[in-house]
Amino acid sequence: MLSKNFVEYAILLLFKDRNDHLFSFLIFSFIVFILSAVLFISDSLQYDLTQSIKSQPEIVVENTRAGRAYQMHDGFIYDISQITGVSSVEGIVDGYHYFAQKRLWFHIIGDATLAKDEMIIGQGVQKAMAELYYEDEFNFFTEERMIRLKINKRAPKGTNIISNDAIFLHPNTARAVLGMEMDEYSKLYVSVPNPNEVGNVSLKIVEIYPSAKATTQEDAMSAVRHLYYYKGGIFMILYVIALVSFFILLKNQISLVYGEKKKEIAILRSLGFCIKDIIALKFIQNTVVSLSAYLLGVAVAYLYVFVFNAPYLRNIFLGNTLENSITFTPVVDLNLLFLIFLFGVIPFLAFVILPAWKIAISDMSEAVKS
Amino acid sequence: MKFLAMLATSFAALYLALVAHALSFPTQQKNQEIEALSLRLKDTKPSLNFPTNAYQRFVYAF
Repeated sequence: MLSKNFVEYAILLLFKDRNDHLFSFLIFSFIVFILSAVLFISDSLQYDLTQSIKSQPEIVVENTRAGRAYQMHDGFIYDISQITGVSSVEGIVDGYHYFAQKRLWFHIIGDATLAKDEMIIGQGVQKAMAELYYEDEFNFFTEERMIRLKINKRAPKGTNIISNDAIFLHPNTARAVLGMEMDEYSKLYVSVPNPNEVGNVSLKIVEIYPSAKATTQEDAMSAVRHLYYYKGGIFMILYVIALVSFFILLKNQISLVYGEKKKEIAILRSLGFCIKDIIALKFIQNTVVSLSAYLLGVAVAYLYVFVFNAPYLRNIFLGNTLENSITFTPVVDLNLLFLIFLFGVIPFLAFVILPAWKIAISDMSEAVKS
Repeated sequence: MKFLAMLATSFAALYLALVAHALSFPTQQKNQEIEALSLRLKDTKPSLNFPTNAYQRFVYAF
C-alpha cells in the first residue's frame, strides 16, 4: 500500500519536472481530442439520420436508364400495385436543381400540401438565396421559362441535417422546375404492411423492371450506418498508426528525460528506495499525466462538437460549399470512450514504465560518481 | 494530495457542466422536428453539398 507521503512526493517531483511531462500531456490530449471529436460528430449525425429514416416507406423504387436516374410513369405504379402484398404505391417528384449563380445544387422535393406558387426552403438554401437578394421570392430559370415563387416558410434549424439543401414545392411546380412531364415521377413509395413480405416484393419489382432499384428501409438504415462509419476500416488503421507513432515518440522522449534524471534516481536508490518504489513513483506521475490528458481531451472534444458545433471539422463531414449551420445532438457512446481509454491510457503507462524500469535496474554507483 | 483533490474536483465540475449541457439540450424537440419533416420527406438523404461525385464534377471539372 502506497503511503500518503509517497504520493505527495511523487506529485512534488511531477511539479518540479513539469516541463518534461508537458510534451506528452499536450500531444496525448490532442490525439484523444481529435479521436473523440470525429467519433462524436459521426455518432451525432448517424443518430439524427436514423431518426429521420423511421418514417421511410417500406420500399423506395428508383429507375435508371443508361446508368443515370430516369423518370417513371403511371404504368410503373399500376404494375407494382398489382404485386401481392403491396397495399399502396405513391409517385413522388424529387430531383436536383442547379443554381448557377452560386454553383450550388438544391434538392427539389414535391409536397402536395403546398400551394402551386409557394415553397418551403432549408436554412442553407435561404442563406445562399439571400446572398443574391432573394428574400421573399425566388426565380427558377428553366430551359423554357422563368418560374417565380414565394418563399413561404423556412425549415426548422434542428432539421438541417436533412433539410439544409431542400426546397419543398407543389409536385406540379416541382415538375416544371425539374423539366418533367405531368405523369412522370422520380421515385415511387411502396407500402408493404407485412414486414416479412418486404424482401419478396422488392425482388419482384426488380424482376418486372430490371433497370429499377428497390431500396428497403433496412437497406437505407445500413446505408446511413455505412456513410459515417469511422470506427473501422481505413479509419481504424489511421487511428492505430497515429497512436503507435505517438507511443514510440513518447518512449524515446521519456528514455531521454529519465536518462538525464539518472543521478536523481541513483540518489533515491541510495536513500533506500527499491526498484519497485522507483517504478511506483513514475507510475503515479504518469497516471496523473495520462488520466488528466484523457479527461481533458474528451471534455474539450465535447465542448468543441456539441457547444461550438465543430467549426472546420464539420466541413469534412458535410462540405462547405453550401453553409450548414447544423446543431449536433449530444450523443456520447460510453463504450467507445472506454475503448479509447483502454487503447490510449494503458499503452501510455506501459510505454513510460518500461524506460523507468530500465533506469532503475541500471548500475547506480556510476550515476552517483558522474 | 491537495493537488490531486483539486484536480479531481476541477474535472468533476467540468464533467458535471457537460452532463448538465447534455441533459438541457432539447433532443426531444429536435427529434420531433426531424420526425415531422420526415413525414413530408420520407426518403431522407443527408444534406451534403453534392449528393454524389457526379454532381461535384459538374460544378468543378476535375
